[in-house]
Amino acid sequence: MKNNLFFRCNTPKLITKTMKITLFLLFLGIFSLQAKMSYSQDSQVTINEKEVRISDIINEIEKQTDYLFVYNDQVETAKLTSVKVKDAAVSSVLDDLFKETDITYTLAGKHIILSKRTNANKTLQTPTKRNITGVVVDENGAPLIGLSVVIKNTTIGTTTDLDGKYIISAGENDVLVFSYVGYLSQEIKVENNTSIDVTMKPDSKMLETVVVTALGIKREEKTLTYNVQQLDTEYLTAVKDANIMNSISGKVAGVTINQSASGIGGSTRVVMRGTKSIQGNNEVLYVLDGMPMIGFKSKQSTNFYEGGDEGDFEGISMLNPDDIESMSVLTGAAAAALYGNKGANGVILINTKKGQEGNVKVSYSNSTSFSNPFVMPEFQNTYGKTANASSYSSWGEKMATPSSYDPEDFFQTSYNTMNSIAVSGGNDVSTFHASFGATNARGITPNNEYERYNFALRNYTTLIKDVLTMDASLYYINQSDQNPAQANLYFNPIVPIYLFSPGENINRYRTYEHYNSSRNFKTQYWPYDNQALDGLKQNPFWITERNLFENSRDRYMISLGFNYKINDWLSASVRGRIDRLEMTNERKLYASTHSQFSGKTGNYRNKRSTYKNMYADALLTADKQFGEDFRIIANIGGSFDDARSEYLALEGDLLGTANFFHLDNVEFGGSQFKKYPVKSHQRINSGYATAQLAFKNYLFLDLTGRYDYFSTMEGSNNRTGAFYPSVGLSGILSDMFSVNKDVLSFFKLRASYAMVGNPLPIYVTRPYYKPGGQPTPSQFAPATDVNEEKTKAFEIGTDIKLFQNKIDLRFTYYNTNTENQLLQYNTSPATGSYSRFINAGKVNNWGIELSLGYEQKIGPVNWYPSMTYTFNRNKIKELPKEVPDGFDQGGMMTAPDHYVVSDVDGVYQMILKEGGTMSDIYVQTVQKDPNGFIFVHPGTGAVKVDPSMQHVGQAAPKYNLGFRNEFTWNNFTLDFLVDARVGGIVVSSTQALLDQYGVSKATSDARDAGGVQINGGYVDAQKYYETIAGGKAGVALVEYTYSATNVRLRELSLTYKIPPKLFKNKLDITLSLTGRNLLMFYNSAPFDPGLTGNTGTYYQGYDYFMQPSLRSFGFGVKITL
Amino acid sequence: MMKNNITNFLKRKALWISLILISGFTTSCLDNRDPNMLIDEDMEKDYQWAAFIKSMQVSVVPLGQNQYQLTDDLHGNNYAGYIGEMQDWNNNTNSLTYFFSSSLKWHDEMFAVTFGKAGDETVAPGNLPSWNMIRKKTGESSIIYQFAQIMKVMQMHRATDTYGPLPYFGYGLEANPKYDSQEAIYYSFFEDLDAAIKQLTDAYNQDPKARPIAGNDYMFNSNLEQWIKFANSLKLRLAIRISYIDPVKAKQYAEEAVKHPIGVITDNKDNAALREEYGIVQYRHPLNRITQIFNEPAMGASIDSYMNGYNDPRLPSYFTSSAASRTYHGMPSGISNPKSYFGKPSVPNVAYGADLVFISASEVAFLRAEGALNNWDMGGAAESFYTKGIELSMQYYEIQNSAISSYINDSNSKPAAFADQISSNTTSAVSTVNIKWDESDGKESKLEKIITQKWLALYPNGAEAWAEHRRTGYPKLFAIKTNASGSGSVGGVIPSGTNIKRLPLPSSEYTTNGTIVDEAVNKYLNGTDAASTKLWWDVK
Repeated sequence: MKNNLFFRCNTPKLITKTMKITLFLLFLGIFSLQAKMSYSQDSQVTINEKEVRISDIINEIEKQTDYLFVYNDQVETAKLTSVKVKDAAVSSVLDDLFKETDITYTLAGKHIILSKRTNANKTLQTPTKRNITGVVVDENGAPLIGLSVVIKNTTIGTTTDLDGKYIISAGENDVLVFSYVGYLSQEIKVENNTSIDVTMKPDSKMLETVVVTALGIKREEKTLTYNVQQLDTEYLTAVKDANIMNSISGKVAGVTINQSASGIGGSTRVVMRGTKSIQGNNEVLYVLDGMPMIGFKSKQSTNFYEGGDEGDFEGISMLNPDDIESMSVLTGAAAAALYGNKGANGVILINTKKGQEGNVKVSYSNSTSFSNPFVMPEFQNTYGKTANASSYSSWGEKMATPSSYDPEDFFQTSYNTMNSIAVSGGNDVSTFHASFGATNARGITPNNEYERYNFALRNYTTLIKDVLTMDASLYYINQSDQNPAQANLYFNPIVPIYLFSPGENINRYRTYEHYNSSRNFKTQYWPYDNQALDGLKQNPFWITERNLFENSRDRYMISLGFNYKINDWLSASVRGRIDRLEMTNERKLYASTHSQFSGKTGNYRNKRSTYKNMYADALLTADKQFGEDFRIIANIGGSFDDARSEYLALEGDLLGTANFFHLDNVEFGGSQFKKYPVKSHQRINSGYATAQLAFKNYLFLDLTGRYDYFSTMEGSNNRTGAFYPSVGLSGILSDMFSVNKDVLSFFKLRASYAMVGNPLPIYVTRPYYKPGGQPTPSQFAPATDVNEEKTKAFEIGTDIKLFQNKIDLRFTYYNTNTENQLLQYNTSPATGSYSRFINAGKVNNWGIELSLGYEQKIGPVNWYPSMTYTFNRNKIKELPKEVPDGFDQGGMMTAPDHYVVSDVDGVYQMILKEGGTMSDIYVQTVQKDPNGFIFVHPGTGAVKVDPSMQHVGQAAPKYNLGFRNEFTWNNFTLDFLVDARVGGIVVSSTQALLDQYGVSKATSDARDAGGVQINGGYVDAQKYYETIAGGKAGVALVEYTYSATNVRLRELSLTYKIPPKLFKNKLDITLSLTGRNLLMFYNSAPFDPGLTGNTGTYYQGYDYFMQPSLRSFGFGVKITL
Repeated sequence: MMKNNITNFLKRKALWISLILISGFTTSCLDNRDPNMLIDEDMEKDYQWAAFIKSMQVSVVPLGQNQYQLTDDLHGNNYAGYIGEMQDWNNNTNSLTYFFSSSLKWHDEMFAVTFGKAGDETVAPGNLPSWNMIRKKTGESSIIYQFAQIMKVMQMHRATDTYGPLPYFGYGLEANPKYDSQEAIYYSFFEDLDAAIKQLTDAYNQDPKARPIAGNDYMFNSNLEQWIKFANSLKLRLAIRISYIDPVKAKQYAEEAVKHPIGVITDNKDNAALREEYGIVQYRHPLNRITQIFNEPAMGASIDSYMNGYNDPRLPSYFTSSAASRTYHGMPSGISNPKSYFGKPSVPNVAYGADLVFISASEVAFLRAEGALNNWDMGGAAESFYTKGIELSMQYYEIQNSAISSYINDSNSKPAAFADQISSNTTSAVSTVNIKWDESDGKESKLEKIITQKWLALYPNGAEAWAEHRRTGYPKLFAIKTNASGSGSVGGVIPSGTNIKRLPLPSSEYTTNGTIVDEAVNKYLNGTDAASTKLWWDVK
């Protein structure tokens, strides 16, 4: 589709495809009929309708005959009329029908083409006629079937066949009009051509766009009372990433995405309209083909020592981008209210490919990319190692010749190959899409590997024509990875690599194990095993080769749905899905791994988890017109969402035999033996209803209500459920009032209000005792008197299209208050319990989502610039006065009115305070005197650290800006996305440690300059840096706080579509060159601020030896047969 | 035809089917029972409430490495001169240098372990929460409750000796429990112990072989006689502790304990200790654990000075010899350059599965020696208890009798200077006390001998040794060199050259129970929660 962003987002491929499918389906019927008999020109109809729309008569004719009407929106079909005929010929009915109108019709095969009557200039002569042939394709080169080709100002016409071919007899001066629903009509003068091939362009005027909304309910976009942004597959997969969410960055307004630092396939932090819940979930909900998916996000590391057991992972990253047809992004609560609490933070609806009717199509795509580190810290290579042999730092003498050591050399070029093959097709009864995808990748750190195999099968079958349809799908995903990057201290090779002295020879340690005669096998070679910094206790090459983290996952998703049309206004549907994930995570620490982590013969962890999610819903849909002006669409439904999980993790030192990693060889009951058997089961039962009232097709009122019964609230005195209502109103002002549509083509105002909420966490409503030798009583007071947390959201917006849709603007203002925050706070343990639950606190988010699209022809080049703007302000309005501490791991509190929600060694903290935000960062500072001068010890020259925590800013950006440009010229498309994130701060403990160890460029510059300049004088560089950057994570991190503002060339792709003519239209080949993170136009931090070590709510803006983000180059091939 | 039948069927029923499904989905049953946890019903089976005795036992000195390091090692063990640390946490501003940080929260841990703490599974289950379960579920007249009472006193005196006033009598009963004075808490200990001793003795007299908490006891395998000895010995320890502030009551309690028909611990086999053989899950002595895993604790300079000076035969049992010199060499606590010692000094040599001793026969002998020195009727003379204490300690470490007797009779050896071989912290000895008992010595000299030898025997029970050091001033210990305490800091200034007297109240209490803590500080601590404030019994 070559149109502006707006329609990229909102005129989904799905819709036009659906229409195409419908048309195609009808045509298939037509052509099959053709075989038996010729055109049923004399079809007869019986109609007895009073005061109905012309369109209703048209529908009736379509129902009774094989005819299909084709017309565009200039044809006025809303006019009321009455028809009473019995066994009348279609043509006579039509003659009567259009007598009083400005509509003319043309019979073309099985098509009846309607057009607006114009003052025909009948003077043109068409002396000689000849056959003109050609192929009509869409912007992707796919043939358009059943497209009407009409000679202008005549009723002569034809339609294209299954291959998009047409043949028409026309004269030199005739103008052929190519028209097709959803596409811009094209007029081409015949002249002396005998062959005219046409590529159709999507019509951005098409206002009858249908988008997929909550529960999979399809709605006309213009009727929506809230903002929905839809992205089609081409837009998502132009520059592919193993995790599809990374492809959304910068393309959708209202969404902020951070990529995890765990490398390929890792999780993402997706925040829509700000973080809302202090302790609850702030994850967006992913919905696959109408049914919610479980997030499966792995536990995020909340300390800088060690990562989670299972690597970094989330369910959404398992999908094959090539299976996705489109995505709808529901940023607001009103749009998501039908998903209840799970939708409180926004929803991403993913619609997968269903297959199309027609010849079986085979498509193959390959996308291969190569990556290198994007943003690295700056290192020095002129000062050598500190003289003390056991020291790791580089405060030594200046070397005679600069060293050639460059930590970046440690990283290898990573690659990621994604191959996908899909077969799709079908007939008028059944369509299918079957695909196989393979993703094979290796990371930039040695021995980091990732592979994924996706199998998908979807079948859509009409079981009873026009009445009962079935939609069945099966997805199987097998994914495995090894040694995903960890942004922490224990098993992170980057720590010893970055801190390695340029005065030392790294090659000496590449042979990470030496033969040990006393043990008769090779053991770790590393003379620095007694370093105080845990990360330096092991050889980096040993870490990558002998501290293995292996994960493998199998996931099955099976779904089945039926839709039954009870009568012409009422239909029922029922569907369900089972989603099962089985996961094995192993950690193998080889013998001679440092004793802090492993026993003499090694240490082994084996964790097996099973997650089972069952979802089912039933929905009754009524759609009824009342009189001329009113229409009601109503749904009533119920769903049940059941999630079970179970895992068993066993960990311990090995027994006698070294490096035999099997549970039989684990010292069960040994001092390092740990077992974690955990089960959980929760369910949400819901009932919901929606109603949309439409008046004259330009005023719409939306009402929804959902009642959730939570299993987690069972046992609470209050109630087990929560009611979530929403109300919305929208009006199309450009239709209500007469305006010059050439200027103001479309003008809609919309407003909505919704309330959603979060229930209690699981299992906190009654007292428990932990089993085992020594029972432990519940540490919390049972939560019997709490209610769910509530988010109240209001939004108002407008959609404007100007100058016949040349400019497309969409604006939304929203304001949400999340009240009654569910807080678990620590009480004095002297009360008999350690924590208690209360409802208190209020968080406000308000902001703006804006997108702007434009289209412009520059000579032969079409230019489609588009922009998205995301602005959010977060504020903690209220916090309980007497409260909380430690609700999350590592949480702590230093005064009664604020929470410490992230803490790294007391040097970096995120603290929540009334009036602050949910991403406020606090760090320690250097002691200063009242005049602002840094305190320098007069004798020693040392500076002092002020241990109190100072607020230095917030991690969340002020705003995000995505600016995308697409240029098309013939078969070439150049597309690039510049992404700016403005405001916010980040803190780098990595840089602090580089300074502490004297390996950063800053330290050599300071030494060259004779010291660090403070108060106009110089203090000794080593003393200075060892003070402010001391400890395990730095001390005065105020010196390591950077603006997070960055502007980058996020995506670039150049696509060439080989003209299908070369392959006799049998073959489509598209070639592309792609790049991601190609250029950083602006960034002042020593790492990529777009990375995050934790994709949860907190621990944001903090870098602790994160693996650098990647700059990728690649190419892609797509072949369709 | 078939198709039509289906169609007709569906036409008639579809609406109802979907309505039934909708209501079914909406109303299916919900359950919120945690499948990982037990509820009351489960606990009733086999009367498992008594299992909370085990929970209390493993919470006295927590077995988890992080907890033990904070409750015992980084405070008591260092303040008692047993241990120095080769680490400089928080830029060397931490408990070792008398800096208490509300973000490190080290000084919170003893409180947390006493009153219970939410968290991961390595955390001790908590002493009072377990006691509270027994109180609630078995009633205060049950015999199980008496075992719980003894364990509670065992833990609570460690806690009150650390902080002073604590929220105690209202524990688990009030929304914001008030603090109680250490004095009131201590007197309640004697009442609780007396009641427990009485009920256990009655049970013992009925049936000496009765095992009322069989299977739920890691210390004595439910042996009543040993429990009574433990309770009497604990009573004796507490009596000695208040001997300066209330000599009359102290004498009464001490004599009651010793004269009780079953009496106090006199044999190492009766030592009150956690024993691996009684089934503690994954037992490992916590000092062994942290020494091996963290590589941070090292032999303290003070104990280096005494043991090397005395040529103590227990040295190989207490510490490893430093690899280079085959000698025992420690390091001071509270210095500016702890990391420079890394990997060099001797480190604790507690065995992996060594008993975790709460009260030993040796300590009881020294307690009786001090009682006898006060002219209390302890059933013998100070000298005999003094030598018995040394013997019992050495026998525990399987020292040969000849070595024991030559040690006891050594009148020449004196504490040596701490000769620092690693850094420049060499310090001359702070005491000249010798080993051999000399009846002609003055009372104070005798006391120094008793406490010094008790201190050597108590190792590695730093918490108790620190309490006795505060009460008596013995043994004389090296003062810390780097004192980071300050007027603005938590705990205030600790004057240089003086030893720390208590830990500040936990920072968590200030945040969760602030008003009441302020009230307690005013009422019981003269208005400041200072680490230099002496506890109630610390009046010498």
